This record gives sequence, structure tokens and C-alpha cells, in this order.
Amino acid sequence: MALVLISFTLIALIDLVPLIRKHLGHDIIAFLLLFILGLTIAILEVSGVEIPSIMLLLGDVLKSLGMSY
Amino acid sequence: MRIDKTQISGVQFMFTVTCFIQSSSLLTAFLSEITKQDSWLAVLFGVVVCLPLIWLYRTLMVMFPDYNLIQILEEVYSPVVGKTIGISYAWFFITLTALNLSDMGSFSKLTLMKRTPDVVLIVTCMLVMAWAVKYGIRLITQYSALFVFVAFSILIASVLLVLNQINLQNFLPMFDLPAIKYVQGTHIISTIPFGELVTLLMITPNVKLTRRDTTKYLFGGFTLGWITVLVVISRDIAVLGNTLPIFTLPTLVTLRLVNLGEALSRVEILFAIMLIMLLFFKITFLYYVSVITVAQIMKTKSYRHLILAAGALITAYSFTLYPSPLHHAASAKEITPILWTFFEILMPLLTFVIAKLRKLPKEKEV
Repeated sequence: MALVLISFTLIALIDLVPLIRKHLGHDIIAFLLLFILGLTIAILEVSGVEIPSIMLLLGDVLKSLGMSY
Repeated sequence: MRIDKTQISGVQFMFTVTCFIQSSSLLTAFLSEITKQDSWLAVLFGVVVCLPLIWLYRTLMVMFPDYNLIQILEEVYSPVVGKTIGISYAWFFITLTALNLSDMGSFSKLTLMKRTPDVVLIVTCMLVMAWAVKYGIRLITQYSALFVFVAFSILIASVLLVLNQINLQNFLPMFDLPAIKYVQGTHIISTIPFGELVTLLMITPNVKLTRRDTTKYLFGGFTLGWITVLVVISRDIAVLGNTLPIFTLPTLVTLRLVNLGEALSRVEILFAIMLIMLLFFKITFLYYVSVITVAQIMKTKSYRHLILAAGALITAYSFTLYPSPLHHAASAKEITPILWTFFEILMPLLTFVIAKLRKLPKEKEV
């Protein structure tokens, strides 16, 4: 967990801080979207929470529609 | 607006296409389990099916030489609808990157570094890839010709080394499987890897080519790529015969059989090096495309500040895609080809038809 938090803090320091200084709104939103999503998945994984596979879920949907081999 | 202003030559573009397809040699097991000794036929059917598809990509590149895929979607469907479809493409590119990254992690662990945890291999590779992505498409594609040359050299050497074990009877019986198996095999090879060339539409503005050169380099690269896949599959069938579908990595097993005295054994390491090199190239390219896509959708000033955040997301995401390689293989055979058809065939085709009906791009943009 500590390693994950340190890594994400480093990423924020390297990339987010300059964006805030330059007031680049679109860039900050794009960065935060990727960053928050990545951080959430990483923390859940490290905590041992089982994250459902999006590919298997989509597979189940397609199978229920009769679209699979 | 162009996010990355670096340019690549036609030759670099061609070798990028070749490298991209060659790197999928690892995935031949998806096919060989379905079409067994007729897998080489499925590759040929896939090539025939994909020729119009590659022509479609080429036509979109020629029609919109200054636009990447997201810009084309916004132009053709209106900014809001185009952006919505663009978000689905961002998911598609990020998923492709994560899938290939996960494959590379598993393969490296299996062949080279058995005791190293997946996460260490994947994070190390991602850091080097992030460095390459930072310098743009020119740096990423700079060594594509070298990678293709090394891959072809190792491929030719591997065929020569197993020449004494090739049995042409292994190709028989031909056309002995149910027709649906050929359809499924052709669908698999058409979408994984040939259809994945749709990612090239994201670098169109970075490749300034004439109409004729676009055709020449795109089809040239595609031809070199499919020839490699065909040779790899044919060699594995000729050597392994009906045991081929048992193995998850048939090429590795084929090369393990090379034994020309004590000096020339364990040559599968050559294949491992070749594949890791090509996968490294493919993932770097896909990583770059994913970052550019997000930057384009969000209309950012630069893509460089998104590289590390995207890399962290892709790394974390790659561990959630499939619980095991078995799930991955099953999904690749039954579900993925259908899922990818939307992004690789239906959407480009629909975009092309609507662009033609709306007479796009407008005269001044040609």
C-alpha cells in the first residue's frame, strides 16, 4: 500500500503541480480522470478487494444476447 | 489541432505496421486450438477478409490526412456524438494496451524470469515505455525497421533449425473441420491482430504521405506482417502436428525441440527475446495511442503530462482484466473477436459511409 501511495504521490508532484501552476483546466481534468481511476483500482487491488473483470462482464452480456462462439 | 507534432517517414510507418502484426505471434494459440492443422488456412482466409478492411483504413487516412481518428469521428458525427464514440475508443485502446502488457508480463515470467513477480516486470517495462512515449511517435517508430530485421532473421533461423523435424503429413487432413470453426478462426485472426491496425488511424497526421505511398506502405507492412504469422503457424503445425492445440505457446515448444548437438539447444530463448522486443514495441505504440486519444478527447495543450497517470492506470487495469491466462484464452476465442468487431470493422465502415454521404471532408480541407 505504501509503495502505491508513494508512486501516485510522485506522479502527482511531477505532472499535476506544473499543470496547476499554468492554470491548464482541460489538462488538469484529463490528468485527474486518469489519476483517480488508476489510484482507485490500485488501492482496491492492494487491499485485496476482488475487482470484477470488465472483459468477463462484457462476455456475459454478449453471451446472454446469443453473440458468442 | 495536432497534439504531437513529430513526423515519421513512410518506411517507418510500414515497419510499424509489420512490427505490430509480428508481435502477435504469441497469440497463435488462440487460433490453433480452434482450427488445429488448418490454422494456416484460417490465416490465409483472414488475410483475404482483411484486405478490404485495410483498404478502408487506407481510404480514411487518404480522405482525412490531417485528422486522427477522434477528429474524424467529431467531423463526421458532430462533436458531441463523435466525442462519445471517442470515449469508447479510448477504452478500447487502453484495454488493448493493458491486455498486451499482461501478456508480456506472463510471458516474461514464464520464459525468462520465473521468480520475479509480475508487477515488477510490468512496472519496469511501463517506466521505459513512458520514457519513449514522452519523446513522441518519431522515437517510438525509429527502431521498427531494426526490430523487423531481427524478427525475420530469428524466424528464418528457427525454420532452418527445425527443418529436420518438419513432417508435411502434419498438414493433413485438410478441410476436415466443421465450417463454423473456419469462420471462427478467420474472425479471430481478422480481429486479433489484423483489425487492431485501426490504431494506426490515430497517427495519420504524423505520417505525411501521398495517396499512392499510403497504399504502398500500408499494404507493404501488412504483407510482411501476415507472412510472418503464416510462417510461424505453418512451422509449428509442421513440427508439432496434432499435438499443436495442447500447448499455450506452441512456438516455444517447437523451438525447444531444436537439438543440433550440445552447442545448439535451448534456442527458444531467441524466440523469447524476439517476442519481448516486438511486444515492447507494440505496447509502447498502443500506450502512445491511448494517451493521444485521451488528450484529443479532452482537448489538452500537451499529452506529456498525461503519460505517467495513463501508465499507472494501464498497469493497475492490466491486473483486473482476467483472473487467469485460461480465462484470457477462452475469452479471446469466444468473445473478444465479436467485441472488437464494433471498433475495428463496424465503426470505421459506418464512418466512411456517412463521410461519403455528407461529402466530407469539405473542399477546403482536402
